[in-house]
Amino acid sequence: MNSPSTEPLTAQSRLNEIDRSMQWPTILLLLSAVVWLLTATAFALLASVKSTQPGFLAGCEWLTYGRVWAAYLNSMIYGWGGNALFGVGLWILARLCRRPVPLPGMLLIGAMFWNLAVTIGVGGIIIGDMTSIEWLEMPAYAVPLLAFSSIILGVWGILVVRYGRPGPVYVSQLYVLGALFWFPWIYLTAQIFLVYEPARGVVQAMANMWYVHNLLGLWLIPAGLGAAYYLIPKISGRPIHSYYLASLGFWSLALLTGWGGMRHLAGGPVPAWFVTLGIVASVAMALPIAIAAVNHNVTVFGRWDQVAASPALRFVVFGTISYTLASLIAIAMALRSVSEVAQFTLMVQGQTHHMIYAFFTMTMFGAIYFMMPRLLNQPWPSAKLVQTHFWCSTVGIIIMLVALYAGGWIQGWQMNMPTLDNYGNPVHLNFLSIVQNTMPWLHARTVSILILGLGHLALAANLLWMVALAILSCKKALCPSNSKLVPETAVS
Amino acid sequence: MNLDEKSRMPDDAILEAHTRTFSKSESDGDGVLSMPILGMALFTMIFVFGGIYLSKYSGDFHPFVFDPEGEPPSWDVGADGGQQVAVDGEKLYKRNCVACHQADGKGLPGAFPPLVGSRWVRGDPDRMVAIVLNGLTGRIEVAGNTYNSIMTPFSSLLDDEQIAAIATFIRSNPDWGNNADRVSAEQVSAVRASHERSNAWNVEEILELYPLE
Repeated sequence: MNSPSTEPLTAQSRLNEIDRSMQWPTILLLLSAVVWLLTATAFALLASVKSTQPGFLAGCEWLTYGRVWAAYLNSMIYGWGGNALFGVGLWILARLCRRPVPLPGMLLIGAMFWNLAVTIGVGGIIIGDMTSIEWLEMPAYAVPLLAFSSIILGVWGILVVRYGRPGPVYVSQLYVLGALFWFPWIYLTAQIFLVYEPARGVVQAMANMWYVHNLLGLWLIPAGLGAAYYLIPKISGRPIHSYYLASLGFWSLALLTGWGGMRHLAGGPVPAWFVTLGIVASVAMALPIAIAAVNHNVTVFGRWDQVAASPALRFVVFGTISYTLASLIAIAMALRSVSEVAQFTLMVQGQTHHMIYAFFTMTMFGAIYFMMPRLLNQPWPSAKLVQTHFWCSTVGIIIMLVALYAGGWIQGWQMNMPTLDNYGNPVHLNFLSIVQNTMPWLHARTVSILILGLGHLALAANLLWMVALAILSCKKALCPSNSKLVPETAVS
Repeated sequence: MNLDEKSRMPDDAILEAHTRTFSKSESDGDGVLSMPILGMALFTMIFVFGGIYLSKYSGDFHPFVFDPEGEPPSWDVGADGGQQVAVDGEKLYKRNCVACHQADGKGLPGAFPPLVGSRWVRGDPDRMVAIVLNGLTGRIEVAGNTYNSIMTPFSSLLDDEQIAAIATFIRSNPDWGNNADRVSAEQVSAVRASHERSNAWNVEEILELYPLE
């Protein structure tokens, strides 16, 4: 931190110093993210198989469908999502604040507590202590630690900005700081209203939907958008299309997302104006979505050679294109005429996976491919594994989305569509036969998870190989004592 | 694929481009024009849609319709002050009886006797209660037709209060032309206690104990 005063540093060497100052906590966060991703994939596979073969491993109480499904969601969102978000987001924040970070130990403690809390939470779900609240299934004894560690990490993010170099604020910083601030707020509010002092009646459902919608919309999505806003100009070398629109996009997203959750309650016993407000807010999201689409996709449009050549950029661009598509589908599903078919079907799950996997996860993969060589000072060992990962993820998520959207639409259509019985009276299709009709789509989902899992294994293998190479050669980045030897162009 | 990729834009450059945009729009005094015309169109469309949709689908919500001085609406609870409505006879009838006696209480011709205008359900309430408790088999004549089937016993399925509610619903239902007295749970429990039997009645036994008026 004192080096800038002694001699002016070039941008390149200062960047190395920033990476070095937060090297170990960030590596810990990214590696644990990948471990949680593999865990979540295993749980997802198990849950998906169980939904078509209920007898599979049915003898084991710990692996019943309800627990495995909740364990999958929680290890995916808090384990993979949280670790990747903090690792990538805080690193981008530090980079854009352009000074080595203060108190890296605090980041390390926050990261360790976060992983401990998620481990306790997912373990609690598996042993049967889960709550019945969507996305808050973690038992109450994991909650204080999770909230506390998110506050530590958030405060650390503010310290990075406070001790960073004063200067202009880039939109990625806004998104990352937003995500850091919003998580403790929505998490604690939801815990208080749903677990510690439960609200009564339909207010519970409203609080739950508010939480689920905001966890995705104000935590994972901003982090993904912030990463894309940073990585696209960084790798492509072109400034984003419009900085002016970018900050308008951030503030309109911040304003509108919180209202949108009520659309999930259409048809439920809540006041009509409440759902209507949610629908209007969801439709108004067209503005930030259009801005993100213009800024991300127009910036790289027509430069597909460059996108294909970069391991990081191809993931990020896949993610940003998915963001536009998933958001447009979310707007469509908000409308009452669509939601009367789509609600309570596989389509809802499909849209969530579109956002969490095809957008957020793919963008985070891109960020990991960009960050790890800089943190370890070691290039990725195998291009084949990167290719395998990319194509498995792409093909897997496309199969999953087609299965869930198509299967869900048919499911909802059959539930609404009366057929005639032998006497000519209108009757609805037998519920059991509608469930039976979703079976082929659920089999397709299992296949897609297998393919995705293959891609995740490729990533993990590449990562392990890379870490092993870095340790064996004991490069400068791993041995801070001779860090002055880093060639200035090697990492940036 | 280039595994050793370099970044093509340093962080300072990312931030500087940002600064340039904002200083330009401020100094020129035409910051509004930084919004492309298509963006303005989208903005306007969202506002128009939102306004129309909110006013059309808000279920007549108005923030000032709540009246703290207003009287809560009152319901007619009947002569007994609502004591007897704790158990809903109509609901219980629909759950337990409609399969045979039908929703309109007319039964099925040739199979199940009607309750509408039936002498068997009027008059002494104990007769009807006894039949509901233990069931009935054999030939029976109701409203001029003869039936020969089985009524199942309900003594172990329903408690006194529920049987009283069903009997009251059937006996005092004006739509069915019945206007006999209410039946209380105490009456049902007295009938239940008065005979120890597990098999169904036949018509002769019932008529001997509770002759038709």
